[in-house]
Amino acid sequence: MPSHRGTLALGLISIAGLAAAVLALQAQRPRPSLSVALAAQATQFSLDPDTLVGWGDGPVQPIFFSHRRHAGEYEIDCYYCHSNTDMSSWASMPPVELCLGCHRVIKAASPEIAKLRGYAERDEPIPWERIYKVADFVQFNHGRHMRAEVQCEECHGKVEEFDVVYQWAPLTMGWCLECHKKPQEDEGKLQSAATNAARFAQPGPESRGLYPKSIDSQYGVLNGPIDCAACHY
Amino acid sequence: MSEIKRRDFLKILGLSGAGTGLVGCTQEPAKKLIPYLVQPEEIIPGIPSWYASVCGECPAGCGVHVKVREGRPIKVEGNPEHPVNAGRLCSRGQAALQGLYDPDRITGPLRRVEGSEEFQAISWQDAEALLVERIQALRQSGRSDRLYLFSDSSVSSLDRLFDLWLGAIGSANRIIYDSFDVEPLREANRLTFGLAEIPRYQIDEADLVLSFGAGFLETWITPVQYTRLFASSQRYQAGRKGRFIHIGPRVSLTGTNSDEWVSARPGAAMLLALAMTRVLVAEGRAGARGAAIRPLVEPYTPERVAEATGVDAETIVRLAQEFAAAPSCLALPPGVELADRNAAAAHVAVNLLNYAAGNIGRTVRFGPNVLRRRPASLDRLAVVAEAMRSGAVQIALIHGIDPVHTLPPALGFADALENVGLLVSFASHMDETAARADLILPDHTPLERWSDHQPETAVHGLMQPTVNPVFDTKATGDVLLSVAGQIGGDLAAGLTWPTYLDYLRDSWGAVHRDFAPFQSFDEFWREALARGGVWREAAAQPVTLNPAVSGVAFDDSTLDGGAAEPLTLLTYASPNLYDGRGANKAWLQELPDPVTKVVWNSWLEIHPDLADQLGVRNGDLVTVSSPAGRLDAPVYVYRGIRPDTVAIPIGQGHVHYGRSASGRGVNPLTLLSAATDRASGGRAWLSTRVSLAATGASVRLVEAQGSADDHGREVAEAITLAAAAEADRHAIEALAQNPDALVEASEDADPKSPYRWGMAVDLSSCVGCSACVTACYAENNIPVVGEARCAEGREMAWLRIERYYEQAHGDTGHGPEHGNPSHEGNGSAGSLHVVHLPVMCQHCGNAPCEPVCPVYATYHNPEGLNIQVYNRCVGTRYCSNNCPYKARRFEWFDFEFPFPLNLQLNPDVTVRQKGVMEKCTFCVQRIMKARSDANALGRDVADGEVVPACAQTCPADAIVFGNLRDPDSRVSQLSRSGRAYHVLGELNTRPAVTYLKEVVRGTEEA
Repeated sequence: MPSHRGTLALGLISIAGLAAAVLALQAQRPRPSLSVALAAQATQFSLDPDTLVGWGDGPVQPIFFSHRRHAGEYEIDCYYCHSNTDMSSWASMPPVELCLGCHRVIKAASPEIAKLRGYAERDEPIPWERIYKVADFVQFNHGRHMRAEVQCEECHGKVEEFDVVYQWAPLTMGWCLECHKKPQEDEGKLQSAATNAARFAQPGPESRGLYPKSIDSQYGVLNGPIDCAACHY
Repeated sequence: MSEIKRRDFLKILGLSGAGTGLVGCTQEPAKKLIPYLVQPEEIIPGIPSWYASVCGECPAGCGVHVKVREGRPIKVEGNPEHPVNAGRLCSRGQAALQGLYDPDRITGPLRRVEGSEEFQAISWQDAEALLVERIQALRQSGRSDRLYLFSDSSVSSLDRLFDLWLGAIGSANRIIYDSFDVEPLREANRLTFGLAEIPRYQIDEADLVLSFGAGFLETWITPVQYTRLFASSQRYQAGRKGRFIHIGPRVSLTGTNSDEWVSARPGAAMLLALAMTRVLVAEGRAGARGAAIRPLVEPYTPERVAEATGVDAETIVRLAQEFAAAPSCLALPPGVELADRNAAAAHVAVNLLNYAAGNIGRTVRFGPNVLRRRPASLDRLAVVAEAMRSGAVQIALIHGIDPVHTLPPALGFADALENVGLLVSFASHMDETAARADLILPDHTPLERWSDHQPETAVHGLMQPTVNPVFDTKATGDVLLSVAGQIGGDLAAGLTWPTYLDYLRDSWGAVHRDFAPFQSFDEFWREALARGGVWREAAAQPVTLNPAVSGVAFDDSTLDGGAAEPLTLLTYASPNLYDGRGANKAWLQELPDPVTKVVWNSWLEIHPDLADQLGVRNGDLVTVSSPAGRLDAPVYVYRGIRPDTVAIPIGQGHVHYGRSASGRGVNPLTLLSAATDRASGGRAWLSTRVSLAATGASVRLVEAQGSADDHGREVAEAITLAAAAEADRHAIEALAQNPDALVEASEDADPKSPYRWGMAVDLSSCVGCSACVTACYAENNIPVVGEARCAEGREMAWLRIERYYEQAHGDTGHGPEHGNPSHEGNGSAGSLHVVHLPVMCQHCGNAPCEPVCPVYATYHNPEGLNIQVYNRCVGTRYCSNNCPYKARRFEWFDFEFPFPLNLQLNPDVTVRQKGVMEKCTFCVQRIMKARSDANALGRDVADGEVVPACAQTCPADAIVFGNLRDPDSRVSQLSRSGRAYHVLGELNTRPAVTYLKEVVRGTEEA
């Protein structure tokens, strides 16, 4: 058995190494230059093409939509467009009708808004490029995180500063658990590691080895559950 | 209606990218994120909407709630408020989704290519124009009466529109058809009480239920309601339990729930009921009522009928005495499959027995009557067939029925259809009748359409569309209105509604005036839509004995066939497939038959003695010959059938209908003649004798369960009523001493966890109907694997029902434990008792599967659940090998959900892929949702807030789920019952599922 484990560990290390190398390469990758068309668009929105935040990290969207302009400059609340994100397991995308609510009047002459109107007139939804997607086999409940008062930027970054949205967080299990495993900050419920250790020492079914001690301590102790079934079912 | 238009489900295909993303690595991940153009107010992506409607799978008219995610119905559940089914549903109702998403549905109007078997697609406009043209031609020639309209027997607004439309055309040829009519019952009630109605049987109020064979827990009249009522009096509670005696030639699913089976010759019901009535009258137990019926029953002494019925005189007297002595009792008639040529008389005899015992107005209640239109008799259909052959039927419109599959070929109806000038089918699926049509104008399926259904006197169910039509179909009501409008003139004058919905609302004006005259119609309509209809308790109709009853001739029924055909043929409605309409629903094909556990096939049930005589075993093909026809069917050897009778289920034998149905099994109607009950014209299913001949060939008859014997391992447990009461006394004493005691399994969770989820299954409630199994398929995205995989034992069901032939333990002097389990079939008590045992993952506290997993994919979670993590699983299958319950299933293949079946998948549950182990999760997604909801309210989950799919649908309320750490929860209380036991508990697995032993009430127990 130990030899198996050793091989496995070695394998994991080499995979991790490879991944790190790839990431390093990506970090060094040259910033792609803007296409002429896009540069023109940016200029038309009074944005400096050279300072577009997120360019090169996120996909080119069918409409050049800037979160920096909407959420940043104009301070439109995230909820205004992404409504019900606190109720539903899925974060919602604004319907085209909502965009047109303002843009029938505002910037109506812009060619990008003309694209928007085009979609509405053709009865065709906008095929946004998808950016955030949790891994397969994960049941992620957006609303539950909102109710737990996780801030938007904790997972999505400072979107109000992005012109082009990109996947800001890695969305890996390790990244999820980083937060889930933090001790709860609510003072009334905060428990020290010592208290946790004391609980593990209690005689109980876990002493029969029925489940691992590490999975034990999620009730009023940690930020989020770390039980596999909380997300995987 | 604009409300529906906005519920446009195609527009949100993209948003559901998150749903398809869960499908697994084998599918392309969604790369686009597509929002609504205009988001419907009532839809929040990720949160289901529920719509109230009515189940359209059989004439019972159960109320349903349809769970719709992003515009797609993904689950059907019973409507808890509805008086017929009170929130529960059977397998067929659960599988309504597979009718909606049937990959073999007719996708648009079709026209037959002249002189060919093929169809070609045409537009709705052309299709309607064709119909209009032909009707106009008929009207111009003054032969409007040459138009015939065939439809089913349910009482609805559509039914009235058919009459109106046909009247406007000028034809009186409305043919109502019901494959399982109950005309003998209706006629018997007219003869006995002067009221041609179908009463409500108050099974819940009867201490003793005596059935002459009706399959009331399967398909008869309103099975979900009957199952609920049956369970409420027949389950063991507080030292009491009703007694159910099943009399008949075969132990049906209903019969398997009896405390005693009295094996009687087929067709013996009439004589037995008369003889029992005579005993009651002769012993003065019928009181004043006896005088009126004495002359009728006088000749039928138990001794005289003993020979003809196969039940000895002593037993008849004992049964009669038991019946009379019970505090309340109810006799149920022979029902559909045992209806012979004298069925009405047999039903009259049962009426007399109920009358003599004083049950009329008590357990047999007129007033809240079951409503069905009277179907045409087979004799009438024979006349129609003759008219077709002679060319007198120019246009035939067929809606909602499949007469070609469900009529005996001997009637010649199917062949006669060839001579109809224009055969128009409104079928949604390519059934046997549609396949012969010239023009197919596909109707919406019940989940897609506006409609209503009045299954009982004062129950008006309302159906609303829960989804935009999946294919290019059109409501038949709209087609008829459109056709009338196009023909114009006098025809259009009487049918001015622009759409069927307008007509429906108009038609509900009468209901509005009746139920809520002081409310505005719009408000009434909205409330009715939200509730699923309107209802109230109907006033009782008092009845008295009809003097005409003295004229009833209690003659013997005759059977076709002579000395060369020694065996009586019993054909019965398949509990899964009904009359065959369920045959293309893969869930129902893969659902093991509750009695034989056979999947995907037909079979011939024969007694072991007969099998020995023929030298055949399970799967051997025998040729069954009757005067009307012959067929080859595989043998299933069954102890629960008399040696002089053989049985074949109805439902298979399709040529068309789709990939799951076609070419599968046999249609036993080939063997039947067009026999009818003499008095009522209802169908006589019990009408022929057959002979058997072994062919020497055999097929593999796939059974989902091998042995029906638990080999003394106490897997399925049954005890006598006395023993149950004794055990209960101990449990109650123990509980009184320590009211907050928890069951052992409650320890198997994190000490801090408020929950230890557990389940209790009361075997004295469970009737084995298997609705839970289908509900589980629907909820948990369980793939269907097909017959060949089932034969390898690789079916994927997370929940199965095992059935064991089991004698009750106990020390009472009578009853089943003394019954002879041999095959004598001599009318002695209790010769076959069956325990139905639902088996799912037991969520063991000390689970054998957990320590053997090398990758930690299965483990015990802090709330006591045995969790399977799909993305950790590498498929060693060690866990499955170590599971003593065979609860685990392995995905050997990537199973497909062919479009549009994939639209039914539950987005809250992962669709597993090849190489992954899976099993019952206790519907963990529902637990998580309840926890999340409770969390938002800052409290713990309360008892009853988590209801797994199986428990939700159980018509008998046999499955209870909840928190074992709460001493007051229902599951805790049941788990501490004196009847509680664990299956294979001696292995120290510490299961979270507690079974409560089946209780059998013997002859003299009360």
